Amino acid sequence: MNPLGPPKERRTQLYFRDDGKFTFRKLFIEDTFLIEKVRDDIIKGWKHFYKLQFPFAGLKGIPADMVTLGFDRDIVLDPYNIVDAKDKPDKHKKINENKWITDVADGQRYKAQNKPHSMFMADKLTIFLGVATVLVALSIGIRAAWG
Amino acid sequence: MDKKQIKEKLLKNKKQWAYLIGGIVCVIFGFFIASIWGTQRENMGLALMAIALWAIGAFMAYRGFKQIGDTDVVIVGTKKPDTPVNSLNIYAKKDKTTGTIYSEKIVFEMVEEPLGQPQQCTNNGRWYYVHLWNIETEALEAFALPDSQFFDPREFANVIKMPAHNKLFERQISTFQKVAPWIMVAAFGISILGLVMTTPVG
Repeated sequence: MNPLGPPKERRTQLYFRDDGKFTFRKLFIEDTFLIEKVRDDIIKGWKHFYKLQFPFAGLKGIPADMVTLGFDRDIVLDPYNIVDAKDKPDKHKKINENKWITDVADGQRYKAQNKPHSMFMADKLTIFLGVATVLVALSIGIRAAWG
Repeated sequence: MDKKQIKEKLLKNKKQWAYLIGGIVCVIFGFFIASIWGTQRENMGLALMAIALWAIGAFMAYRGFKQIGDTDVVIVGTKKPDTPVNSLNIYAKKDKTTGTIYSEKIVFEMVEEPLGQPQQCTNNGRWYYVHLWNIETEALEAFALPDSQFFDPREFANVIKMPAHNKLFERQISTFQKVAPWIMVAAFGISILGLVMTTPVG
C-alpha cells in the first residue's frame, strides 16, 4: 500500500508523429483515456482499449509494457479493426454530433457534479503550518516551564 | 519470468527501500547536526547542512514511498533482442475458428528485406523500418498511418476536461480561506522568532 495514496496509472503509447518519427512514451490513464498533460492541464486524449494493447518486451532504454498505438489525427488507432465498430466513435459524424463522443461528455459532466471537493495545496499548507506553529509554541512553553 | 527479469524486479524493489531508508537516515542525521548547532550556535554551516539533509531526506523518503505503491508488469514472452535489429514490427493473430483478431505483440526484429521508409525512434535516436503483419497474406507489409483526419486528440481533450462545465462546479473560496495560509505563515514565523529569542546562547 502506498501511504501517499494510490499511484497514478500509466501505460505506454507508441506514438507516431506527423514528421515520420515515433516515440514510446508513458501516459497517464484517467477514466479509460490515455492523456497527455502539460503540468496539470490535459492537452490531448486518446481512448484506451484493453483489446488494443500489444505486449512489448522492451529494448535498451525502452521499458517493457503493454503498448497501444496512437497518432495525432484520431483518438483510436486500430489498424486491425480489433475493436467492434459500435464501441468506437462513428467516423462519419462530426465530433459534436457523434453519440459516442456526447456519451463521453455526459459521463465527464456527471463525474464533475459528483466529485467531492478535494483539499487545495493552500489548505494543506495551512494545516501543516498550523501544526508546526503549535509544536513550536509547545516547545517554547515546555522550556519556559522547566526554567 | 526469466532470471534476468526477476533480478531486475528485485533490484527495483531494493532501490525503493534504499530510497526510503536513506531518506529517513538523512532526516535523523539532520536532527543530529541540528542538535550540534543548537549547542554552539556559531557555525551557520551546520544549520544549513541540517536543513539540506532534511530536504534531501524528505525528497528521498517521498520518492521511496511513492515507488513502493507502484505495481510492475513484467511481460513474459519475447525477450529483448541480443542481435542487431532494423525493424519495428506490429503483429496480430486471427483465431481461425472464431475469426477473432487479437493484438499479438510489438517487437524490434531484424528483417532481411525491410519495406517502406525507415523512421526515427526518438527514444534512442536510431532509425527503424516499421512493419505491420498482414493477417490474410501472413507477411509483413510497410506500416502507414491513415491519412483521414477524424477526431483530433486536442479536441477530445476538451471533451474529457469539460472546462466550461467544471467551472460551474468549482469550489467557492471565501476571503478568509484565501488569507488563511498567509496568516499561518506569519504565525509560524513569529513562533520561530520566539523560539530563537527565548533560546539561551552558549
